[in-house]
Amino acid sequence: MSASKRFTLKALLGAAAFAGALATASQAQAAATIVINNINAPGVGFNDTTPAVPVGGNTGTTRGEQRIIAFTYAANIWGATLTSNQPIIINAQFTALSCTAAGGVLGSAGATQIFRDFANAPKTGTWYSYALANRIAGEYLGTAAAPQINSNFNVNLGSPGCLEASGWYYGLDSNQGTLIDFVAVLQHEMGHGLGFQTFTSGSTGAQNGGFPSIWDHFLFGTTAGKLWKDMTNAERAASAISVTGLAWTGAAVTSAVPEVLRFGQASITVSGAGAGSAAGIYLAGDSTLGPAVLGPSIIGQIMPVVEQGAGTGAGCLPFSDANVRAVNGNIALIDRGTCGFAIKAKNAQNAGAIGMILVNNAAGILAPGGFDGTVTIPVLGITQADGAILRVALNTRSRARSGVIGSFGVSGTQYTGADPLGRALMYAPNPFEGGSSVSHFTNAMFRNQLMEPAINPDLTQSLLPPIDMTYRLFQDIGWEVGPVPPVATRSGR
Amino acid sequence: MKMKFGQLAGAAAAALILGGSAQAQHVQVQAHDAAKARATMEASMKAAARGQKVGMLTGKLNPQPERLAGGGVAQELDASTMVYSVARVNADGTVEMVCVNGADAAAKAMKAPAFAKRVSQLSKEQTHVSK
Repeated sequence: MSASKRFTLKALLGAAAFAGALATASQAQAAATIVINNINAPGVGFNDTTPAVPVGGNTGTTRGEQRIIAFTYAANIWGATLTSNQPIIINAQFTALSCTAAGGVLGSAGATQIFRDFANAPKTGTWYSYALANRIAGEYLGTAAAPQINSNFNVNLGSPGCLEASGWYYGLDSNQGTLIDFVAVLQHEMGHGLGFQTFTSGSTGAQNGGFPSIWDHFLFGTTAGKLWKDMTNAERAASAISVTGLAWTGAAVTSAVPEVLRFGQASITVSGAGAGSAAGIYLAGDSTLGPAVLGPSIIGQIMPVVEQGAGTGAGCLPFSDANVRAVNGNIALIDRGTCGFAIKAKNAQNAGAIGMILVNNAAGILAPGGFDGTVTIPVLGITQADGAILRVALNTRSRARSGVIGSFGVSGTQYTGADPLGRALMYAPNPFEGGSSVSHFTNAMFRNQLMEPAINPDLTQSLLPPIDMTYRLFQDIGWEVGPVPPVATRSGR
Repeated sequence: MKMKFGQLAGAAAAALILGGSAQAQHVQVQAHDAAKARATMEASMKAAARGQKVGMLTGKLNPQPERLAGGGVAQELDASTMVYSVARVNADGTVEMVCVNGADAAAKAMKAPAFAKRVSQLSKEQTHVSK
């Protein structure tokens, strides 16, 4: 792929993200007022007066101002997307949370109450999260002006002893680099607080107080062939660890799947005079580095990168003349190991490679992670066994030619992250992962979604197709049931 | 028509401006009952760490379902139902983040050797790691 074509692809992706953001801002004239209730003490968290340099569109000049602006920005995306005649009140604070130099809690959030059998509830005997119940009822249920979501964020992040090199990024432009994007974390956590969560236990299958959550009307276990609301506890628990057997049946999400998810899996088609018996289609893992492979992508000779000294790791050092000669204008084939994928990708790119194939050193297809915004060549991962097959074909190469042609593209018969019927899959790993399981989309989705269990670095801020399906799930559970009720004056209790 | 870089940059700037004006429309910031809310939240989170259920709104131990005067039932939740975002630094300096439910799960996630992003994709097991 030429440089100009690479730029065009990136420009298209950027334009799509921008279009998504605009679409979010104008979601059917949606509007909900989100109230951020700052519960920090004076001088702390949102009230921290430590000077700060404006960053990424955030004009705040103190740490506290920047936090408020970033929170407001994230909340506004939700407020412009949801529709409710009741304010959505969020208690928010920065406070000390568990943290070490190598890992820490970034934040926590959750609904403060759930409701069932309230006025206008579409499903009887079914729990709804607080904000959604208010929206459907058209009145403020429970105590007037009670917070519907509680949220905490780690005040020490980026300080000595607490992920020191990975503090919060308060910019509004998703240009976080190696820092942690506060806006993305907020968007995700607010999603859970607003209703992206079942209150039925995935580990035991037990319903909260014996009643299903609204999610259980849409979660479908393909093994039992039942919705969660109709299953026994044991069936639900089995469904929660069924890996590819937990589907979402809501019409809004299902209709969005073709628009959002890629049809087929990343693959490398190998051909050419030098390919011999290695010719064929190899399934590949997507990378968070470089441009996504959404369809026919680069084509070029595959050339291996050799280690430049024992133990240095293939591709870990700036390429020698021999390696530059091999990969310049070609696709670099590099073994996994010793250093990060981002380092290998950048070295290959600097040597003139047009793409990179990473060969796993363990079982399974490798999906190379990592982040480096300056990597502009596509990157895919393959199995160790497939790498060995390619190496046999590459044994007869010259210094700059192999005759083994690789073509990046997609192949397969279903949407990536959906079941064969085109229904979105939910996260159901085996063994069960406390909390991550069930209440997220599967992390096999491509493109990555806001509400996967991992917060991926390639997220945009959109909640809508063609980028994201989060709001479509919200539509399924009732955020757009009927017209917005007029404001009621009576109290819920 | 292709967009040029300058147009994209302009569009991005416009998006930020739109965002700024829209913020005033959809978001309010207040500091209502801050000290009380802080104390209740802290009590609920500390209780959850001990395995106890203390309501996030009232601070009540083991909150029970309550009937609403206008019809319906409310169930106050405790901090054990909160969702946690956890980050971990890998050996190559990259940061990975994962979302889990409850303080216990968050503690386990922090101590895990790596967030091997297990991807079950078209029935093929993948690891999504950075090194």
